[in-house]
Amino acid sequence: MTAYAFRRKVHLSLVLTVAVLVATAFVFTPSLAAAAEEVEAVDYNLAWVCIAAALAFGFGALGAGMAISHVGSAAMGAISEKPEIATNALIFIALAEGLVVFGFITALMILGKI
Amino acid sequence: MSRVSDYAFVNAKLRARIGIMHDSTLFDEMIKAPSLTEAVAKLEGSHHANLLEVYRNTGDLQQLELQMLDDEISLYREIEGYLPSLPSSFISVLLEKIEVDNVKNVIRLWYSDVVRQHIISYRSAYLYKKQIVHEIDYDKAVNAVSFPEFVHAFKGTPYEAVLDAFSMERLASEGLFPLEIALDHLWFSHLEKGIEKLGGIDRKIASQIYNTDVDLKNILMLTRYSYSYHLAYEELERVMIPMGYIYKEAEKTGALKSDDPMSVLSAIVRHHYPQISEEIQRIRRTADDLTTVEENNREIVLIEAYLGERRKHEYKKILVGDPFSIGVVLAYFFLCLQEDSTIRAILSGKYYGRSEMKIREGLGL
Repeated sequence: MTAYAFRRKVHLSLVLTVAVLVATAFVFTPSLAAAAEEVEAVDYNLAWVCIAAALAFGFGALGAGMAISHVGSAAMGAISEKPEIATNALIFIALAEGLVVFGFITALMILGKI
Repeated sequence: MSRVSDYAFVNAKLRARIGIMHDSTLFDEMIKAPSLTEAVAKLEGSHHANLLEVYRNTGDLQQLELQMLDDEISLYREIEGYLPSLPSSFISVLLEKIEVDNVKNVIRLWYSDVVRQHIISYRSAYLYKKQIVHEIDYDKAVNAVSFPEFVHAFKGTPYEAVLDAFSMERLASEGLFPLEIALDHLWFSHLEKGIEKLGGIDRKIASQIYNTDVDLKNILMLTRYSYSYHLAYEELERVMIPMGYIYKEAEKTGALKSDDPMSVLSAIVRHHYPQISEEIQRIRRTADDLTTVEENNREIVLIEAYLGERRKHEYKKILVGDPFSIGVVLAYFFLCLQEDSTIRAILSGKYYGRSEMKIREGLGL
């Protein structure tokens, strides 16, 4: 498989991941919204909070996926020629991976407000 | 697909390869080696180790050079496979240059055989006969007894039309030079079209690299022919590569048809490349007292070496530029060719028993 075909597959899986995330958000939002109606003391729209959390995590994951696809393919290219730089390359991949962690923490903070 | 995703993998790979390219220590050891066999042995453990194997099996320097050509073609094909369609088709155009040079070798062999009546059997064994870009029957071409039969071996390729414009009589009277120039011009026209097809920043970078490259070749051509051989200006126009900033401006201003074309051309060179112009003048001034042909040739060698350095500088400049463009690929090819030609020069120097100093001088070290 050429690098080009490999990248196409990575992009395809990325698109599928986003689709699953969006579908999940739509499936769970109505039930959470219904739960919100039951909790009268809460004075903000629970549905919007959940969407905000989903977006924070979803876009974080999307950004991380895109970054890893680029950094990862560059790292693979460089490592294939110079295996001794594998550790350095992994640090850069981990930096990109950090994006999804930020998104996750933001989502947790938003959900913590409920 | 974005430029980042198009080039991230291949450019990181090539930059890593550039990082592990041979340093001057290997070349130095090869130059210092007391014999050709020992010079080749220095390649052990390097990415040219396969050459050592070929030399051990055949003991033939020309077979080794043939292997180097094969490796070069494989390298282009490998990079071609890593790139998306547009830059990949541009690499095919670059590969065509190797084919044009191979076609020129076939023509020289055939010409030696049929026109000059020389024995070519030992030389034809060193001809690269595998397909490079177009399907050409090299055996049929070399063994052709007439020019039409020779041209027929190139049927269906872009070279057919160029060859068709010549005849046996013309080749016998004018030699191969006009035909070789016509083939070079054909490739440069393909190169220009290839650059046009590239998109955005790639087009800009490739155009800048090749226009500057052609300018440096044209400057050398101007220096060499107008000074050493005193060609007529009509001929000069014919031998100049019809590409690059100098040629385009000369064409626009009608410089080659003016009363004093050389001074107009010098002004154009001075305008585009003030440093080069100054350096050439300096070399000429120091060689002013020289009269013999050999000393004139030395001046050309010095100018050639300086322009070679400038080419290297231009390509290195690309390496520090945009990391997600075709520039890195082109710079890598250039550095590989430089490395290969250095190895070729050292080995052939050793083969002919040249001294260390002579080899270094030839390499501009």
